[in-house]
Amino acid sequence: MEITKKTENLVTVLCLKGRLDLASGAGLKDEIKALMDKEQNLIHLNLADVDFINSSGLGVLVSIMKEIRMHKGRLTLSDLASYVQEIFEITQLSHIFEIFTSESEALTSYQSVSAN
Amino acid sequence: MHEPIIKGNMISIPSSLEYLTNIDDFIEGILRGFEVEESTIADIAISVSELVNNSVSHGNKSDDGKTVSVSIAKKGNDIEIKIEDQGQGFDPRAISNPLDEENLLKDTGRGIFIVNALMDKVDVQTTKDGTITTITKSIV
Repeated sequence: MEITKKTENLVTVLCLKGRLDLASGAGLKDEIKALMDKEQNLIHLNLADVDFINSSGLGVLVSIMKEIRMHKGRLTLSDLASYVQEIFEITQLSHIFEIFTSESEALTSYQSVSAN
Repeated sequence: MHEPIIKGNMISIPSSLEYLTNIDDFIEGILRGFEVEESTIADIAISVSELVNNSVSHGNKSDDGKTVSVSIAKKGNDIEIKIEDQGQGFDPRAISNPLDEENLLKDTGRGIFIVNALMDKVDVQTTKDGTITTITKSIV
C-alpha cells in the first residue's frame, strides 16, 4: 500500500492507495506511531484509492483509532468506496469512526472544533 | 509446495498469507469472465480473503507444508466457492458477535461475521483430512 502525506493546518492527511490488510497495515501503524511520537495527533485518512479492505484492515484502523485516542488526538476518514462503506456498516464501525464524504468536509470539521 | 498452483478453476497455495493476492487475482479474474457485477465481485473477494486467512492462520496454523485450495464454479444463478484446508475446522455459530459492546473495539474477530453477512450461504464441513468451507452467492 502506498501512503502519501501532507499537512493541512494542524491536521496530517494520509492518502492511502491499494490494499489495506494485515501486511500493508503494519506500515500504516508505524506511520501513525511516528506521528504520535511527534505529537501530531490530528489525523485524517483519505481512503479514496483503497481498492481492497478486509477484517484485518479494519482491525488495523481500530488499532490506529485507539492509539490516537490514547494520545488525546482525533482520527477522521473520508472518501470510502461504496463497498468499503458497506463493510463499515456491516460491522457497525460506521458508528465508531468519524466518516466524512470528502476530505475537504473532514478538514472543515477540524476548523469548526478549534473555533469552538 | 512453494508456489501457487492453478488447475482450471482451482488454485492451491502454501499456508502463507503472502499468497492472498494470488487468490484475489485468480477469483476476480474468473468472476469477470462470468460477467459478475463489480459490487458482487467485491463481496466475494473479501469473503474468500477472510476464509483463506482463517484457513492459513487457524486451520493450517501457518504450516507451509500444508496447503489451502480454492475452487470456483457457476451453478445456475449462483457462484459457489470451496475453500479447503488441512485443519480441524470451526463452528461459524460459535464465533463471538463482533457487534457486542465488549467486542466492538477489538482489533480482530470480524472475519467470519463479514462472510456470513455478505454471502447467501456458508457451509462448513470437517473431515479427518481437513475442513471444506463452501460459500454461495446469487449473481441475479
